[in-house]
Amino acid sequence: MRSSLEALNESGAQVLAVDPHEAWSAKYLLKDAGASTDDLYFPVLMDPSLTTSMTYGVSFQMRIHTERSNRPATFVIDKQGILQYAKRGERFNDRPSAKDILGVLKGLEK
Amino acid sequence: MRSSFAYPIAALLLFAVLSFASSEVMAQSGQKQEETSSKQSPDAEQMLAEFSKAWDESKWQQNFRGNQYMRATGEEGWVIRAKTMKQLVAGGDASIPALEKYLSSEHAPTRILAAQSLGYLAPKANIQKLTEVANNDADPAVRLYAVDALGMSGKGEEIDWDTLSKNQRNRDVIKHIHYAKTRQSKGVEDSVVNSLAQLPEAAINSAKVGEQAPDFTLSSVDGTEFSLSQFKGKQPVVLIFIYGDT
Repeated sequence: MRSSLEALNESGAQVLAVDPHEAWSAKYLLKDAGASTDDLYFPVLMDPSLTTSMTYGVSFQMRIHTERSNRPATFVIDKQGILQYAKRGERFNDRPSAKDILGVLKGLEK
Repeated sequence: MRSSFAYPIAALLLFAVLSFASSEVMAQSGQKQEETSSKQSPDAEQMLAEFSKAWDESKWQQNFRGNQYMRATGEEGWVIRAKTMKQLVAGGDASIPALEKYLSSEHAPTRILAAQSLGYLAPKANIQKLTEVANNDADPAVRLYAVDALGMSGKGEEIDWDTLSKNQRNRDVIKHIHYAKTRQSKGVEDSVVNSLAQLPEAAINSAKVGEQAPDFTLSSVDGTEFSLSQFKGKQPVVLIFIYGDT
């Protein structure tokens, strides 16, 4: 996982992750997993109002544990700010591979 | 390699701030919010009653208690949940009586919606009622959101967290009690409530391939603000949504 994220970062694209929790909760989760914010390879943005999750059409759709939460989802936005690629996962961990995303990014350069 | 993507821990915890850049949009939402606030709670009741009905009429409720674990529901029915929550939170304090009433609804999805919406209004909500729900509701998701709301109330020091933990069997609820407890008196930030209350309804599910990606401004875990628009003209962005554990 990490090496593929590094490859994405090296491609010249900015990787941003969105987590629906508040910062205190996300930090607690990191600590729980034996990690800290220093272990993050890219910014993890907090969306506790769920507004970005709602806008991107990922909220309230993934049945996880006791509730419906954000779908795992990946979007690619080109340099002009146009949404070029959207994948909203159907299952847990249903994500495009880093290779797929690198392919999308390469296609944007043409 | 690693250090260039490592972010130092900020001394202060900053919470996510989402602002829509257009002041016109802000002004319009502010106006809308005022109109909603001036109405009384029957409107919030009507919203909740309509939600229960819409949920039961939609196909997506069939999956709600099925074996759809870690599967996406896919249908567009979630939009009504998002819109109703936004409207209830935009209603502000006037929504609280109806939300507290619907915490006792026989309709579990409506209780979930009520408990989650109350979280954003929790500083003025009835802590006893939320505690009762967190202890006794039959549905773990309702208990979980009631626990979150207790944490978001900013009155953590008044709450008997130990008794609450003892009464729980659900792992997620126990975890959330743990999170909520660590907040102590740190209630939900106004900026979080405002960004939800002021979200234009048309923004919900508006991201479409081939169109301008909707802008956002969010804070990272360490408090640095990022906007999508800051990368425009500079570099492409890969935006990854992490599934939430609730």
